[in-house]
Amino acid sequence: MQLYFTKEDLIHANEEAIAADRNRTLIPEKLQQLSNKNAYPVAKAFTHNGVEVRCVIVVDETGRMAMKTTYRLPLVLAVLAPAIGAISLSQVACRTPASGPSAMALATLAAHEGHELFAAHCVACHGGHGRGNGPAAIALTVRPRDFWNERCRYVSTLNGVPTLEDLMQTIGSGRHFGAMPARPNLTDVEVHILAEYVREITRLGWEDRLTKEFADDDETTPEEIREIAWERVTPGELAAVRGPGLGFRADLEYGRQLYLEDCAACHGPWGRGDGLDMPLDERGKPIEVRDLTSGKFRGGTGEEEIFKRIKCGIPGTPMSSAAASDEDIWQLVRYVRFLAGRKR
Amino acid sequence: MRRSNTNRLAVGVVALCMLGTSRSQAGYEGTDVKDGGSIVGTVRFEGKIPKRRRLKVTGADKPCHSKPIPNDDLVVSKDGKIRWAVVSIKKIKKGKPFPPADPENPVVLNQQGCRFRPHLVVVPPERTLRILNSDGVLHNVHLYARKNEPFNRSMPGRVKQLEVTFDRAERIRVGCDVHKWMGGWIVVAKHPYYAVTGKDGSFRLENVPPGTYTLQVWHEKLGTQQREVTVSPGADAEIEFVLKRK
Ligand SMILES: [Cu+2]
Repeated sequence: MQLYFTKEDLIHANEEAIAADRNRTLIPEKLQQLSNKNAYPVAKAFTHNGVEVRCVIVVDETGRMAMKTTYRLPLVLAVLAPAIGAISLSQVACRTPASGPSAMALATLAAHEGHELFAAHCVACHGGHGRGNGPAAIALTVRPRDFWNERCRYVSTLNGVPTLEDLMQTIGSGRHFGAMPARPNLTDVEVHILAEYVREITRLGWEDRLTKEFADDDETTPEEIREIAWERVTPGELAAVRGPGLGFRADLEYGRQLYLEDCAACHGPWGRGDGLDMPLDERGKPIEVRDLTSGKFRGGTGEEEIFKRIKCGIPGTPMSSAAASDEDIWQLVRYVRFLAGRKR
Repeated sequence: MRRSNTNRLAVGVVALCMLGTSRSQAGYEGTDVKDGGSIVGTVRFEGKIPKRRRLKVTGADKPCHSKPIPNDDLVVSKDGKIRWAVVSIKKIKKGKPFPPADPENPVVLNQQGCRFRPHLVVVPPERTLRILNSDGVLHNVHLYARKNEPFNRSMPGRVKQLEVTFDRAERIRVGCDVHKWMGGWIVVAKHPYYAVTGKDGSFRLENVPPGTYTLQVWHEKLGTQQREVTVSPGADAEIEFVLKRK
């Protein structure tokens, strides 16, 4: 089932959300209301470099909603496209390697192009200023990230700052178990530009918050705040995801002991995410502790991704970075995968 | 804030490239102080003296239930003296050096009985703060730093200690997501003229170069207040701060 709704619908939904302070209980009703209508015009349509871009909202059978961007080539290009496949906006041909322009050139480009790309692909959910308050946000069960005020969750660094690759991964491939879709139609260069743009929003957000927080401290200068904001978006050392090593043997009993010591307090003795009551995120809003038996890991279910989540923690949430040795983290990775696979 | 030497090196190099000097030492010079004086005083509470509350402790972790845990965020004696207030001189550019680092005896913040002991520590920038876990249960050391790198690290029962350092002066709230009632403060000092009030609300800053200064008191619940103070050679300048609920 595919639903299209009007901009007015989305704006109205957004106003309601603001009025209700994003009370999540609204959502099932909202979904019901939306799915009663069969088809809507596209939420947003515009032209980008001669390509018509349409943003639509897709609702699948489970009621999960996702923003989908579709493209329509101008007639002349559409005719030519099969002949010169490389320039078509088909899923594969467009993913050119990002090795062409230098990082600096990309950063400059990002300022110009980023805004436009962001407007094309991100605003419906993340909002015009990247604050997670786009018109479609209310309809989403997983709240879109507010880049201005929140930290990115899925990182590979020990200081919790996402690398550009981390951001590109999320933008290009999307996130499972939420509304963040993959963007196979974007080129790697476009994904890179968007990553830079998101990082810039994050930096400006830090600058803004620090300026407010230290407004009455006459020993804090604007220069210092700018410098700190840059530090907050500068990725640190990478978590070494080298694999468990040759002599490694997964020992589920040992893994279970580690799990009980290191993880059970929050994730519960059986991994059902029931160890903490009322966990809060960085903005004091309630969040869920992941039910590990569900296997629904937003950062990815692969061993390396799970390793990173344990090693680096999940910034902005209670999920702390591990004190365990890398060897022990691999044991935990195996045990967590075991829990995930054991479901029912 | 750094967690390992390699990490320190990596970020240290970045910092050097950016600034050319160490950012934490910028703006303060430690020298010999001749004819220094002292600032002594107390921090007093105005209003109805708040009672010490017993915090609501949940969960099955045994060490958390071994003793009642009182709140530390507003500790006022019967005669109205405020504990855990931080008194410091503002904008002092030159004065006594920080005491030499003692690697054997760094500043220590302990997690004991599911409570931070002491409730508040003062640590110079780039000096080791040793965080202990005496409880044998999982805590997570969650530092809500703003000028320094935010930090959230697991400390399972078998991990007895962890060391961190800070680059920039600021007041950092410390929490634990496993035990929500746990709360403490790390004050990263700009210079050595910081004092924490004791049970009797008193503080003492010694060896201050003669001159006129702005003295600031900060308390986590009661906010900040500033007073002018003039220090004369060899004398005690006395000052009393009076704080009330905002
Ligand atoms: Cu704790």
